[in-house]
Amino acid sequence: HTMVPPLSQEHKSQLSLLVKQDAAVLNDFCGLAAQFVKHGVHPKVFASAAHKLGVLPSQVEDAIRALVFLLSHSTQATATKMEFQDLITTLGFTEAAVNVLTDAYTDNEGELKEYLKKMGVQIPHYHNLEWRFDILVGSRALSHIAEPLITLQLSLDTHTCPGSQTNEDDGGGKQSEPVYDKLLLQTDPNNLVHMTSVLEEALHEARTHHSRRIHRYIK
Amino acid sequence: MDLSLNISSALRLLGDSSKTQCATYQEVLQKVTEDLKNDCKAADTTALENHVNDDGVVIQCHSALATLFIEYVRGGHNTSVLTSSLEDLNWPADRIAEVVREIESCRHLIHSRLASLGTYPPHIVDVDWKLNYQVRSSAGQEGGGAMYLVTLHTEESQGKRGKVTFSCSLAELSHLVTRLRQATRCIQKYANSS
Repeated sequence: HTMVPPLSQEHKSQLSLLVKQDAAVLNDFCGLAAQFVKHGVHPKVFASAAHKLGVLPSQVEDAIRALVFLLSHSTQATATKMEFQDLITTLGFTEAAVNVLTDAYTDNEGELKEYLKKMGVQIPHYHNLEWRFDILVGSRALSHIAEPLITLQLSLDTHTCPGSQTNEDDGGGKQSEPVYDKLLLQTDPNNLVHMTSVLEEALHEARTHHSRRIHRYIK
Repeated sequence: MDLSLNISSALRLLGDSSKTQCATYQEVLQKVTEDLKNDCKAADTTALENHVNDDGVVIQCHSALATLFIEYVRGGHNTSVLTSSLEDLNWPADRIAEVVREIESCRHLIHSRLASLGTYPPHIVDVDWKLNYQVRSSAGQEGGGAMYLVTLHTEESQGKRGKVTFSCSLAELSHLVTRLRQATRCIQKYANSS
């Protein structure tokens, strides 16, 4: 079974702020870490937490980021509950704190997995295609023409990642909507037909024997 | 055709067999045709500058004739308009016929050069695709299933080329192809009915 890689000195020192706290405060921090992973945390939150604890906002932010790192990397290494508990005990957390953190680890498994996906290799992902058929009748460079044109709007999800958001809700609001890049493109009838036939070939490929065999093999 | 005074007078001069020798006229016509057929940016007038004693008149005739060619295509005119414009400038029939022949021979090329000027959205000229099965990732993900990687090759003004790459699932690619088929059917219907 894969071991969780040991945390760096930097992470350990950032987490030291949390080690000092009681279980209730630690619970709040776990809540913030969960929010961070889902849709980010507004900087105001760091400031108010820092104020309550008598530390700098940057220390609060570092602690939360280190906590997120701890949780996400343990998820990535598929650490068991026991392995996770062993790790945090070595960091100096009390038994009560260990329980709080372990609950956070298991409760947020789904969100942590989503977060890891977002941090991984990302390629803009297809969302939608709208088209429009136009006839170009003239331009500055050419008049008296009748050129058929297809205007395309391709929407792609470019995975804007969560983190400290600067939107105006106080960090406890709704799940942020994915931001779609809307690309304006055009083509002509010949290229449209060409594009369609090439992509139809692509569809056939997934339905071939060969493709299905690979799919089964990987599963 | 709408030509400026400078252009008109230079053309008048060029067409006048008493003022412009046949050889010179031929040289100018050849040069214009050649320049417009090749990349216009590479056009240089040093060959014409051999006519040292004429204060750059030959060069003016060259640019006037080139302007005529381009304006003709830009305005989408037909040969009768061209013929009557040149007749108005007192061109002899034989020179008119030669110009008409040369203009028509490079009309298509000039048209596509003009079409590539100006601003327009990236124009898709080709598509590449790849089908991957995701096995595992550093993020700890396994068995992501089939994922297509599609690249659209585009052309922009001034001959710039671009690429748009995106991933999609089998279902999403089906969606995309359905949309493209809809657009294709629409155009075919229109082409058949008109």
